[in-house]
Amino acid sequence: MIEYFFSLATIALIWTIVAQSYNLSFGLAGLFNLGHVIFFGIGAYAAAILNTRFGFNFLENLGLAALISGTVASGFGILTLRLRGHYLAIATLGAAMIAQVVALNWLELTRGPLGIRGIDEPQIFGEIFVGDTLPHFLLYFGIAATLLFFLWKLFQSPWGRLLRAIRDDELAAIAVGKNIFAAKLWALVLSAALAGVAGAMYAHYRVFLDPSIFALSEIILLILIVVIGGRGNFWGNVASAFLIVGVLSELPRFLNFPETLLGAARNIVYAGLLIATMFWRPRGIFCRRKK
Amino acid sequence: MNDLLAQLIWNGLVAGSLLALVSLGLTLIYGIAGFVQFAHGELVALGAYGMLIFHKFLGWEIFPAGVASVACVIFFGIFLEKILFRPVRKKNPLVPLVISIGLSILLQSLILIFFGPQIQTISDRHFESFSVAGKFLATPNQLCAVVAAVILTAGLIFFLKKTRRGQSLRAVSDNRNLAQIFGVNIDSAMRWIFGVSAGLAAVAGIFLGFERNLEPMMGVQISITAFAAVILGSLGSVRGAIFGALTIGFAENLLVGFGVIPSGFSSAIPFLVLIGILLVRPTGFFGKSSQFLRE
Repeated sequence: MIEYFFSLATIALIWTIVAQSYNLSFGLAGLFNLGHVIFFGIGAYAAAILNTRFGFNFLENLGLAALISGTVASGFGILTLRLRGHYLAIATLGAAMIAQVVALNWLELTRGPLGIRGIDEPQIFGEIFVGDTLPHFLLYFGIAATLLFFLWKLFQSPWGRLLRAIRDDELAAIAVGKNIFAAKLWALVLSAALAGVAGAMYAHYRVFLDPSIFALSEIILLILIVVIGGRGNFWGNVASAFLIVGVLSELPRFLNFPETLLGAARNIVYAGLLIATMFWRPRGIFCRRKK
Repeated sequence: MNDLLAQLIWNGLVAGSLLALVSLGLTLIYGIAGFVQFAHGELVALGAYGMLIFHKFLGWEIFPAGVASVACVIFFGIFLEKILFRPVRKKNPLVPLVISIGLSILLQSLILIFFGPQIQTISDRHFESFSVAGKFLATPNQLCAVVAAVILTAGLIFFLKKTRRGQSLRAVSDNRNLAQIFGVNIDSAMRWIFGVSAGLAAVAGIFLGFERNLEPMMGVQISITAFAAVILGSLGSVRGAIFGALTIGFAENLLVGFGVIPSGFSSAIPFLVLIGILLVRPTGFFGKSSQFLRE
């Protein structure tokens, strides 16, 4: 039982990082990018391939995944950031579809639907953290806490305020002489790098990776966490990631749904919650009602 | 070679006309209600599953079963508008968009629970395909699909341009507040637009159901392709939706048929075309530059 608890908490930690990275680009800078899972997936695939083919270790992979995801994001951003609103949302959703198709079909690189097996378990400084769920949790907790601390500083910084300004009134931000394209691009690149790190952590933790990481259901989960936590609300998102991934995702299992319907039941919980939140608390459940 | 080309063009036309029926609904909803209805593809799936119930399970003839299925989906579309989208009409367009994303997942999971994850077929009967002018093969279903798509599209354009109701819908799309001042009832405009687009989606769903198989995820694949079509031709534009749908229908069939792109990658084609066009015209092919600032 305690094993189960720690493994769930570790997955929740990973999703906290992904959700916070999405919170940076979608919540703070207001980029409604439906393709954020691309960066998570690219980080995961980068780590899996670098580890199984070229023998890079866990720590090196965290850095490399961030680098690769960030680089892809800068190209992605230059292509898509001139789009707005619904155009941005749909084009980035399309990019996620393309990523999934590539992961499924580029057999030489990704092994397609078979997935990549035998990724090393997370370890750092030799063998200290191999094996058990508790050490894994502690290691991931340490990494997540460090990353989130810097992100929190970023949210409080003048640059964070600039992103909020762009989200709330782009024209006003242009009018006071801010370079909004650069700010948006940096927000996207940083958030992608962070998602890439989370992806590498995910791949090493699960020791197995397949293209379902790019699936629509993962995109929905990400949107759900940020919408429930509140766009741009730092602590709200930490809480909602733990609430949703740690508690709600396991709810259908406790209610004894048949194994084949677990995914569907989980999606119904997510969808109902998403609709209810948008109806009654569009700014997140941790935010007091305005007006 | 000539025959292959003719066959691919015919297949592209069939795919493109069915996609056009779905895309027209999406673009109308965007034009009048102001958001992309993410769950539109699920209405297509419901049309197909409705046909499965009426035709296969209840044993009705094809025509009455089709009418019943379309009618059910139309009422469902109007119902969705009333309970989900009407209360948030005055909010940021992001709100209905996210609600429709949730709705899409919800309907898809419900279909999975009720009908099971397995692939199903509407009819066990095999449609004999026939040769047209010795050039290419067509099935009766494909022929009906193209004819129905042409008639419905022409009917829709007539409705929007010539009838009083259609003109009031276009007025709402141009300027909602002004239309309201001139006495257009916005509630009934929304009912009409959700009903009409649900009906078009259901018709497309029935033909697609005969053409391919039914599976719970079919709606998402169709929505995503239709999004690409609609964005390609600019959101809210009727001719843009038709143009986008046909472009994608032909592109998919020709690029895969001539081996330019391996068939495994075919579901990425709509988006490759889409991203290509958006790079040149960020508001789509028929977009106005003023739209760029308004969004």
